[in-house]
Amino acid sequence: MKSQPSIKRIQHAGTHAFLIIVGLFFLMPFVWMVSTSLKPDNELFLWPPKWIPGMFVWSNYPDSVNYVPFFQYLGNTLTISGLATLGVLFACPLVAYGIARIPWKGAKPLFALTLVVMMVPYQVTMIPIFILFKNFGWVGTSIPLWLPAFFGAPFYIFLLRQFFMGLPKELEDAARIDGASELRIYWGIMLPLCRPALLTIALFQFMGSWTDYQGPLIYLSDESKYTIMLGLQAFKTQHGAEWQMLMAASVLITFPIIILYFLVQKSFIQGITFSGIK
Amino acid sequence: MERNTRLTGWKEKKRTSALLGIALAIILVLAGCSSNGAATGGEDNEGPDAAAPGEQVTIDFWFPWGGDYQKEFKQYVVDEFEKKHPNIKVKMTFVESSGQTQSSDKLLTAIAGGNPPDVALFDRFLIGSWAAKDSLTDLTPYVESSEVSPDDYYESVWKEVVYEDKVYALPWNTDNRAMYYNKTLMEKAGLDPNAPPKTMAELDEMAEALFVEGKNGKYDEIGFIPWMNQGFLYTQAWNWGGAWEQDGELTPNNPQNVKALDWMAGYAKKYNIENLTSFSTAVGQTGMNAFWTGKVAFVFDGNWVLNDLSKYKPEFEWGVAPMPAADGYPSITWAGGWSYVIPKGAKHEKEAWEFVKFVAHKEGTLMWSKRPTAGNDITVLPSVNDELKLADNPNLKIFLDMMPNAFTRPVTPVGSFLWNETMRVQDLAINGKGEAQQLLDEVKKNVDAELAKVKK
Amino acid sequence: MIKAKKTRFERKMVLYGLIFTAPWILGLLLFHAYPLIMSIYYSFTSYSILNPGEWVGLENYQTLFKDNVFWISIYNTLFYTVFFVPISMIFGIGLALILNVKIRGQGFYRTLFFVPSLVPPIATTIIWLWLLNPQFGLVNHWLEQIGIPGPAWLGSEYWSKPSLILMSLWGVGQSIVIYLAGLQDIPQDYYDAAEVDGASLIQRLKHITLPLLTPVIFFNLIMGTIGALQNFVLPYTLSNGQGTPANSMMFYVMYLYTNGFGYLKMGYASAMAWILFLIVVILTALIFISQKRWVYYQGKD
Repeated sequence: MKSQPSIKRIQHAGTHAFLIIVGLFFLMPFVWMVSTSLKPDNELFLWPPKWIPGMFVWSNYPDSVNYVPFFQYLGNTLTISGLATLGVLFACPLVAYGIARIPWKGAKPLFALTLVVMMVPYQVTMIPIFILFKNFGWVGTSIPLWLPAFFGAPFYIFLLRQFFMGLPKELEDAARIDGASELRIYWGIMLPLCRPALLTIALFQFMGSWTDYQGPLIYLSDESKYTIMLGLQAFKTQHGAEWQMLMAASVLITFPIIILYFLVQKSFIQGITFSGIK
Repeated sequence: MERNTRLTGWKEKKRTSALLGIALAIILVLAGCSSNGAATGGEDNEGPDAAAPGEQVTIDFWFPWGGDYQKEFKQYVVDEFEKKHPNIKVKMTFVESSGQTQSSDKLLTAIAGGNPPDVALFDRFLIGSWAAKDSLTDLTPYVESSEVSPDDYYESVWKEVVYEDKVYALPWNTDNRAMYYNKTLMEKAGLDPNAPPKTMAELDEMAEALFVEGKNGKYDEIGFIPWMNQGFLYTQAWNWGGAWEQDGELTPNNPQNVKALDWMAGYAKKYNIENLTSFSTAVGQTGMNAFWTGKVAFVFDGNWVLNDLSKYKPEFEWGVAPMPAADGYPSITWAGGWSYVIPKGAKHEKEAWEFVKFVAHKEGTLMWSKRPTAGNDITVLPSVNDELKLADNPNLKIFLDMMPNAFTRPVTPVGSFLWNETMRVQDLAINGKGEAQQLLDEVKKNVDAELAKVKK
Repeated sequence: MIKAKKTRFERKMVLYGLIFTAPWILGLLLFHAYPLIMSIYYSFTSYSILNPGEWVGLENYQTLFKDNVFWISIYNTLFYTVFFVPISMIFGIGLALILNVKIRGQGFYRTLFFVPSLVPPIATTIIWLWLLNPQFGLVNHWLEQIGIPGPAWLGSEYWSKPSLILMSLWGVGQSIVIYLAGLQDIPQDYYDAAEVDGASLIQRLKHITLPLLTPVIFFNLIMGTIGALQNFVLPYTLSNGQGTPANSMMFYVMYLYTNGFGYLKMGYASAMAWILFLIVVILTALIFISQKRWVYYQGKD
């Protein structure tokens, strides 16, 4: 019995070592991005490559923020990402629940259709969707970038459906016998159980809107409405780019979502498992 | 009981189908509007000259360049234009171009949706295919009734804005290609650093002397790679005396083109493609340029590299010379560049033309070229280049002197396709996938088939 | 009587089903069905975005089957899918399991593995091109220092696809998150009971964790397959849209995009989309049929 803790400790040490080694592979490009963002011109393409700049050019950061209206773009991106996230959080669990847990004939065909629409590449449906939004008079506004989220998104509906399917059937049977309405079962019992999944889709949607490039490119025509991903393109010039500023801006853009993710994954750990309910 | 069930079932069905019916109706209406919009260019397209004379007009101007272009172009050119034309305001919008094509998904969707900008900065290379699709405004009447004359521009550059005898754009800037050579490496190899190769044979010979093998069978130093940086089959073919277009017909399998491709593939065979690609994949969108490392003796590259060389300050001596040509043929450079177009469906055609004429003719070009950061730009107007005294810069003079005899890519509806096809077979040939003759015959067949479809 | 009651329940359920799914039914029709129908129509025309084009019947499809690059792109895409999807799943599940172990710095590690998915794509490609540059890149610099001659990576027709798979694995953080979320949903009771029975780590993994994770694995398999078949951004930017070297990086949607937006042959591109659609439908259907054998839903009785 006494040896138990030390075995655990060795196991943990092994886990740490493994995670650190694999983690380096994952972190390397990011570190390279940070390193480049601090380099002077003549060290950019040095051979052999240098990890630590000979001289730290901190001014690349304020320069990059002043090069484009960075904070305005940041604000626009936050608004769009926030609204779109709200949209999927409203619509997707509702729809997924209707497909996964409500016994009705429409569920199966609707689910099949949900899968089908993911199978045609975006490139060919882009133009018809654009024309649709143009007829609504929404081209040039950010509405096309977040409004569809309120009608559900196939990827998240599918994901949540998998989660709802995984919940024990006794949950709603018991509640139905108690006379609870479907909305109550959904809101009071099922939704709280899906918190990790809801956090996941919120995170994905936020990130997706945050890094989306094609959507803003096509729909926004007024520079005061641009998002940061469009702003990044401005660092590219006709025959090259402002590499350090591009990387500096990328670091600035990446940082807030790294922190956001760190916070979200924390609530993963606190995510309710329903051990107590059964 | 039985009957009851069936009845409710039927009612259920009826309700569902009614709902579906309404939704379908919505869709059909939407679909109806939109296909209409796609075909006619949209209902909010009021046609040219919606504005009455003297009325305040704002024209939309889209450009695909990041960097300082917006700020500087506004300061040095657009502001001046607005001063001269108090009734016209210019709204500049940065619209990124997509991929290698230099075309813009956004511009395409905007035209398809019926609300294009009034003016766009546009890669000249695409004028043929866009004009063939009737998407650019024919500027011929405007040009004829103005002081703009084709003779003001370099001949090759003007050719690129004309499709089937109609003018679709005014050319604006240009760039061309020459050979950069590393004097330090030449000296080390016992060659005269002030006598760069003038013919293909000389180039092959000197390059061979400059390849230095290192460990692992890789090269420490490279003499020359024909497809490195701005080395393309297009230019190599011209310098071998080939042609891509003759008497209005596309001629990718011209015998001299075949020779050029054979010659390129020969380098891949002789020096081992795997080792050469190590060097030549360096550039492109990464900004990395193998020439700056001082390990490459000869490279074909553009005049814009002069700016990079002064920015990154390599630690070796270098020079520029025209690209070598095959014995008995003249050295040819390839000139590319941008232009200003008015997309079909633009709302303020007349004002847009005023703007195009201002920026792309002498007045605006001179203003733009006098900006402090102009670096090693070449303008499309010989008279402006003279006035700017560009020839005083000895390196730039090499590029400038080649402009009057420069070639441009053929203006054809299948321009992008031809370009990608040549890139494809160039890549296949140097990777040992097929013979030059057979590959270029295939290109000929493919572009002719494409052309037949477009012309149909 | 029982039947009537059941009917009333069924009717109620249909109503609820419609209420719950109403937003999606609308969204599906508007933002998905309509563009899909348009793209079928385009595939029978010579639509060019700039011109409405004419009806050409099956011509686009016929030309496609004779198009060399089309077949090469199918081969490349299937090659990538067949290798990338299983590798990324094993990699993702393995990492998720380890990241689910309660150790110090768990939050830090989880974040670490997710960072790549957060870097803007434009920066990602540039950095990879710098790192993997055969002559001047950091990776080959390291390999050389330990005496291994580095390959030409993206410059070699044999190494380009493996390089791409390597880079794509870098973005596995997204599916790790999904696996992690799935792992949180496994009731602790089961583990407690297993512990009492004296089950080993491997036994617990085999009999509890993996079976209960199957709905999520199933999801990632389907999405991974669809995603891999539509692989576009990375190879497009890496090879500047050319699919070099020697067509080894010409992927299906890349070729579709080049046709649609590069050559303005939207009709042709739409025909390509529908052939891809058929391929995806067949593959997905196969996975769905297999589902009965290995996916375990607690919610089913």
